[in-house]
Amino acid sequence: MIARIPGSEFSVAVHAEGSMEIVVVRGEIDIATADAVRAQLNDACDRAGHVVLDLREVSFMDTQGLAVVIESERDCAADGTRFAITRAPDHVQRLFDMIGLTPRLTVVDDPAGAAS
Amino acid sequence: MSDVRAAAAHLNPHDDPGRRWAATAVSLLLVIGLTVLDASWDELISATVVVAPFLAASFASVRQTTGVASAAMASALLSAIWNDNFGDAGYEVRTAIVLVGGIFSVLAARTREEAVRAEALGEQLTAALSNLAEAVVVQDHDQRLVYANDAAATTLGFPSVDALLRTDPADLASLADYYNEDGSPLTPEQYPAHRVLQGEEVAPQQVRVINRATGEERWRVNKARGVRDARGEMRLAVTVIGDITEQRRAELAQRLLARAGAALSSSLHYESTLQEVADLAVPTLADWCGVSIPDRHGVIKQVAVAHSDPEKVAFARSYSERFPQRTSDEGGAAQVLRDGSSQLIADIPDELLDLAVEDPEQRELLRGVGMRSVIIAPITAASGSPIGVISFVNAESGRVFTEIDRELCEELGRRAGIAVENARLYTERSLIAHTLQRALLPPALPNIPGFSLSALYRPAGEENWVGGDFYDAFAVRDGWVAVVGDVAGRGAQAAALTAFTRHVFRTAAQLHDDPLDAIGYLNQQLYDRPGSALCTVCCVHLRARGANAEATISCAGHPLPYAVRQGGEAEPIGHWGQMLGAWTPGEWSRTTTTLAPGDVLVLYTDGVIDATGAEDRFGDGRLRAVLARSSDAEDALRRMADGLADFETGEQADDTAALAITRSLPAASAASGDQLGSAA
Repeated sequence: MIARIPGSEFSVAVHAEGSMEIVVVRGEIDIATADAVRAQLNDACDRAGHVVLDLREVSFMDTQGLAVVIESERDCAADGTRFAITRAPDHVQRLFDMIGLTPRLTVVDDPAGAAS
Repeated sequence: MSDVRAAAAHLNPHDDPGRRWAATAVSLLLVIGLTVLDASWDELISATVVVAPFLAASFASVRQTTGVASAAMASALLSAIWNDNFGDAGYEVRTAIVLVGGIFSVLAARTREEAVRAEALGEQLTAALSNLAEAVVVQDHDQRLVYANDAAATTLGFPSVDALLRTDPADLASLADYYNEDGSPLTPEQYPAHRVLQGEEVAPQQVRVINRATGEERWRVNKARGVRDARGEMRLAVTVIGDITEQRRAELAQRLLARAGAALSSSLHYESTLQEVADLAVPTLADWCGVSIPDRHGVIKQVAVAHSDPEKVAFARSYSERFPQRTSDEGGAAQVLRDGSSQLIADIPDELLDLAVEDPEQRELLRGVGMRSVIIAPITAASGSPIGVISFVNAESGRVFTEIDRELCEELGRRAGIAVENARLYTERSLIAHTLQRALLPPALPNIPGFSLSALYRPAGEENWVGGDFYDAFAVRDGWVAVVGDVAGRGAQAAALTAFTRHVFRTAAQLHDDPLDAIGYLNQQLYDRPGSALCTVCCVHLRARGANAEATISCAGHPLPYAVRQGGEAEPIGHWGQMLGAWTPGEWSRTTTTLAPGDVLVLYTDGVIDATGAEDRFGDGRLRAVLARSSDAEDALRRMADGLADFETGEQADDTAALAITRSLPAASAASGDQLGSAA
């Protein structure tokens, strides 16, 4: 059993709003949880014309998590699906900046903002 | 002749003596009363004769009433006859005659009635008990059998009830061995009938019985109750014996298989799990249980053996070492391994040992074990081919195995087979993983003149596949390059990508004029690969500059390295850059710094800062704190490893790799004459 940080229970859920699907992730995206996020994003990219990855409740992300975001952005672009993320908490969003990911993504403050 | 009347004879039959004597007393009083009336008023005799039986009927039974009536009539007749024939006989004499007649007739009626009633009841009870499916025995206070029904005779293995009752109690006890549920022998003091006769309340008791002659095992539940006599003394023990053998066997099989399943899936070290399974089988299923697996030289090696007596386990181990079985042997385990079908020898004849074992010493040792019954079942792989055997032997218990036991043993063999195969696949997989892992890392860190290097590599758990972290250090045209990287993903694909990344980077760095241009080249290579190929690297280009060294650092999506200068604080150095394989083209900034002798540079993967503790992640803060005051490369990594070990809780989630570099102190270089010589 891999140790989890208390109070960082992971969850991933998908909501549809019209043609937009919002993938809401809570907790930590790391080696243990990245695959679950990837699976939901892949399905959403296949179904919807517009996918928003809601990272507002994500407390931690590592290289594996960043890889999921990059892959999804790329897959959606290849399918002609719009892809956006809602801004993660500052300490997570900082990672996006550091690896040069932020300028390449559509980053919004909340999922409603992505619809416009 | 056996029926409950015989048993009842041991008791005073008057279960409610008070009430009966009261009726008798009333009857006698009536007789006396009538006699007195007769003497007083001759004219009322006829009336009293008619009334008396009705009066009596309200106190006593029909037969007593008849008795009273006949007594009254007798007294009336006698008194009339006496008056007529003997004239005025004495009043006292008449009274006495009537009294005696009355008493006799009442007592006679009582006894007759009881006898008839007891007779009828006895017949009914005897018939009911005889036809009862459950065995019932009644023992007297000496534990001698005074009654047994047909089922009891059958259950206890006797042809008839009479044969059972004729058997001496001592002989009866010696026909079988009795065990408690926990496997301990049942002592005579623990017999339920014995305890009941001692006045104890005894709960139903489950007993395992092994018939000494046939070796048959039965499970019985004994429910004993005491019967007290009129004076309250314990006279009889009535024991109802139920046969629960089928039920117990089914339970035992279920429990054994469930526990064995749990043991077999608890670990991938199959020798220890097989030992657990053998331990579970003893003594409930067999006196001995052993597991043997042939090695590549054809020796059938005993990998597990169990017996409730540790000395016997030691004996079995030394025996199997002294007289190893081979796959080429005839019969026994070798035969089971060859044809894959189990063997059951229910009752081993003495001659079999003489035939099977040539060595007289070996034969003598085996004879000492006293094997009575044996089952050898194959341990089968998923393919169906036997990969070992599991043997069950009964010796001192004398129990003989049945076909039902054989089925259970075969099932245990099948389950053990799955466990052994899984463990073997795991071992094979580990070997592949270790081989691959070695391909991801340099065989040894190079000896770089003027620098000392130290590396830390911790794949995430022994049972995981190879991870995506790597490090490398190699010579380039104008110096050396050290790199630490982390490839996204897990498993074989990640391992292949890691090897690709490491070799592309190394080759590119050696071929480019500026080795750090390898980052852009690697980015393009990864980007062009089909599917997702993402990775982060941190690399440093090292060049000697007199006593100091120049280090140029470039990071691609990777945490920044730390510099610890002259045993001071740890400071991050360099700038973040984009992750490799995500987009093309890209720009990666470079930061050049001077390393003085004693300065330490520490490169690491995110497995270090992302290590999980009880409350949070290890993080930059803790890493900086543990690296502070590092004196050299080795010291820095020791501090890091200790810090992680103190911090981490649970299983390590991610790989961890780190590489530390120190510019050697001039004194250290001078001391190393060989190194200077080779560099010159």
